[in-house]
Amino acid sequence: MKEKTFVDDINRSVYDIKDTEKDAYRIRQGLTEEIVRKISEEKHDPAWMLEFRLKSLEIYNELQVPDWGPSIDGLNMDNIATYVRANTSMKGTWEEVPEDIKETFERLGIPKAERESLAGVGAQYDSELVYHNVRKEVEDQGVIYTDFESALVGEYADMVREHFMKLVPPTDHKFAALHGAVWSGGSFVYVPPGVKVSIPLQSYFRLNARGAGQFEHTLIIVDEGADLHFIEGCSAPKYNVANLHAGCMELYVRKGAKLRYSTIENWSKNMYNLNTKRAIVEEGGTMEWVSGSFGSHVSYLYPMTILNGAGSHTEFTGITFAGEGQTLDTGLKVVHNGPNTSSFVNTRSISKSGGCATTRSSIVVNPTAKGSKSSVSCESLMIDDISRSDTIPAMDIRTDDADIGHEASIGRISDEAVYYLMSRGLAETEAKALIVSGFADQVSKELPLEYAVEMNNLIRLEMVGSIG
Amino acid sequence: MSKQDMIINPLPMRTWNRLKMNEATLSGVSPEGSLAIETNLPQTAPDPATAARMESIPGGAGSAVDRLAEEAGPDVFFLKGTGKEPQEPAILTLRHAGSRQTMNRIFLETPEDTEMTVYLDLGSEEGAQGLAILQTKAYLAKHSTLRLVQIGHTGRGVDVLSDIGARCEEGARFELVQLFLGGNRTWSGYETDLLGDESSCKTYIGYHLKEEQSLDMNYVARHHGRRSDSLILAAGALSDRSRKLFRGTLDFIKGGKTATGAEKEEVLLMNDAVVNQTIPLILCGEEDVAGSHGATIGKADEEVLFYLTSRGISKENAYAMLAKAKLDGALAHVVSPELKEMTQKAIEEFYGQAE
Repeated sequence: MKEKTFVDDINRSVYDIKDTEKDAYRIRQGLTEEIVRKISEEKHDPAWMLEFRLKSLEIYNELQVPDWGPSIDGLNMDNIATYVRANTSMKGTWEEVPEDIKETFERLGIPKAERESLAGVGAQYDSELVYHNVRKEVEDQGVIYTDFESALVGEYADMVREHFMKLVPPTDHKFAALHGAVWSGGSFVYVPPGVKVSIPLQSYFRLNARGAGQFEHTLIIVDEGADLHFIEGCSAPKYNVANLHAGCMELYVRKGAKLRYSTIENWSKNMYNLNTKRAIVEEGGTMEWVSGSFGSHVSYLYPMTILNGAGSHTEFTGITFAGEGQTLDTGLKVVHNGPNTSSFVNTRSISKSGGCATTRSSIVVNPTAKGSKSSVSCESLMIDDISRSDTIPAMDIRTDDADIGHEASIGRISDEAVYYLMSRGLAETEAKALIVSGFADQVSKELPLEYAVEMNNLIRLEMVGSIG
Repeated sequence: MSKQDMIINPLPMRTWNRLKMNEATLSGVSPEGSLAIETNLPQTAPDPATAARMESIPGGAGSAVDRLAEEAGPDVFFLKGTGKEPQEPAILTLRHAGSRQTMNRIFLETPEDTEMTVYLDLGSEEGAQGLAILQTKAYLAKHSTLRLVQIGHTGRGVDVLSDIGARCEEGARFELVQLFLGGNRTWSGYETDLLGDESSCKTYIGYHLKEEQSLDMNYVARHHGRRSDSLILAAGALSDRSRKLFRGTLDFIKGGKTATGAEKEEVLLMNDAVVNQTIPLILCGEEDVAGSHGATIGKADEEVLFYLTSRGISKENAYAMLAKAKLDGALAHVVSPELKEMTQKAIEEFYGQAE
């Protein structure tokens, strides 16, 4: 009966709503030059972008799949439609969004969240944004928050071209090249110097189409002394065929600026999530990552921060929850280039019901980064004996003037703690769920309340049925 | 035999290739002959079954070293424990000379309820060059103990590949103290399979690298047995333009319940041109275990340096003292007084302080 109570708290079916693809435009499956040209044509790309896409395709065909991570043998690009567009254009009010799509986002709570706690929202459905809006007071501050396609040809076209896939070049890895070839959707954000955006912006990515890929591109530039919190959410209904997400986020944090990038990733468990996120931070700037990974069948996700400016700083707080059928390879990379830079990393992973969680990290301190400090802490929790948890932290230190600390631990839920809670009237499932929520608390406390609640609900949902 | 390139010290689970930590490559390997081993104890020849068992034990440097041994057919030195300590430790001395590549295999066996201590001293004659490959395989039967002290202090012209593999049955204990005090490029692999319940391995590594020296390590403790326990403690200092890569892995295999393992690393960085790479893995397929890793990497503490220099010690000597302290940390785990004295002497010679 207690489990029933938990399921009622959050119903997975919310995420599993499937809309029919009626009237949608779907490009044929596979990855060829013809398909890439067709996507470019459909999107009315400027000429340089078509050229960029074709070059990226060449690079994709030359690069090998990684030989170091989880298997992605189940992903066959010949079976993936790289561009699916709902039969609607981008709207500025929810009333204009087609009813079925609007209903999906309403069930996911996006319009409500926008009304209550967000400065602006972008909602992507399959390959294109269907809704985009930003509060007037934020707009009045000079903040630009728009869909990527508009930015590509509008007032900020030169800025976009100057930054597009410069931080994550297509040569970075095979799926960055894939992204360069078939990207679609995403957001462009520019926060002018000195502007503090007091409430977050959010982009929500929904992949509804079966056997499709989503390749949104997010470019954020937080100019000197500015401050922004950007939230990213994602989900998809579950299908019995592979879906693919290979988005790309390029984040520029200028001198003295601060960017917090929060993600609650809840892709369906047939998803291959091969996402790339990278930030570059100038003098005195701060980049904060808050990351919760709950969904996907296979994930490769390692947000990277390049601390270029003197005194720049990054913090990474992440939690990964790998359940049945999931192999989540997550972590982070930090490169210290500037002097007196600092990084603070705190990751936690939980694996249960045969799930495999791998925490992989890389801290590189270059000779120019004198006086730099880094502290990394990784904790892993195993809920049962059919799961796996691996930790692979790498440190490469090339100056003597650095202070580097690393600690990692792996273990199980303490029997004593469960016994204590059960002696206070909690069922074993409840006790373990409570302990796991506590274990994840360092992430949830970094999120706005509504998202922390969602994250804790996801944990409770995952914990149901984990006993015996 | 023809020269070959070998992939050695493979990381048990690969990571990003651009970090160049997944493995090491040793080029132009072609050992011809073995070094003579001077010893205070008579050796015996292993019977075929014992030899086969030893050969089947994996070493940390990887299977390429076993294949090389099959091809090169090096001399095999076999020692078997005979009783409980205290008894005379075995002292094995190898001296590399001339300009050549050599390979030696040492098989150590501790039968049930026995103890054995072995001091393995690899040095070289003045002006020696080339490559010395030393493979040590150890089989520890139930409730036996093997203490191995390995000192590497070859001259700067000699590259060294050390490969250690050990298998511990129920209640067996393997203790290793390793000091790297010489050589040019050194590759060191180590793997212990803790097969039996309540088996344990403790490994203490000390090094001080200078000039262009490099040390590439791959240390693995695999926990199969219940309540098995491991410790890998690596401490050292990097001077001048030296480079060090430490791979350390605790691998908790499913079924090895209530196993515990810890890795600790301390690195003192003494020059801006040094390169320190560290990758400590914890692999876990068993829920009911506790594994931990801790690393501290950085320059000398300013307060400690100030204290030492304010007592009239030059900054150079103060750094040397701090580096030597890393080696002394490993030395403290040499149990035999006789071997402790020999190890102490080797450290003092390294710092030019011998009488």
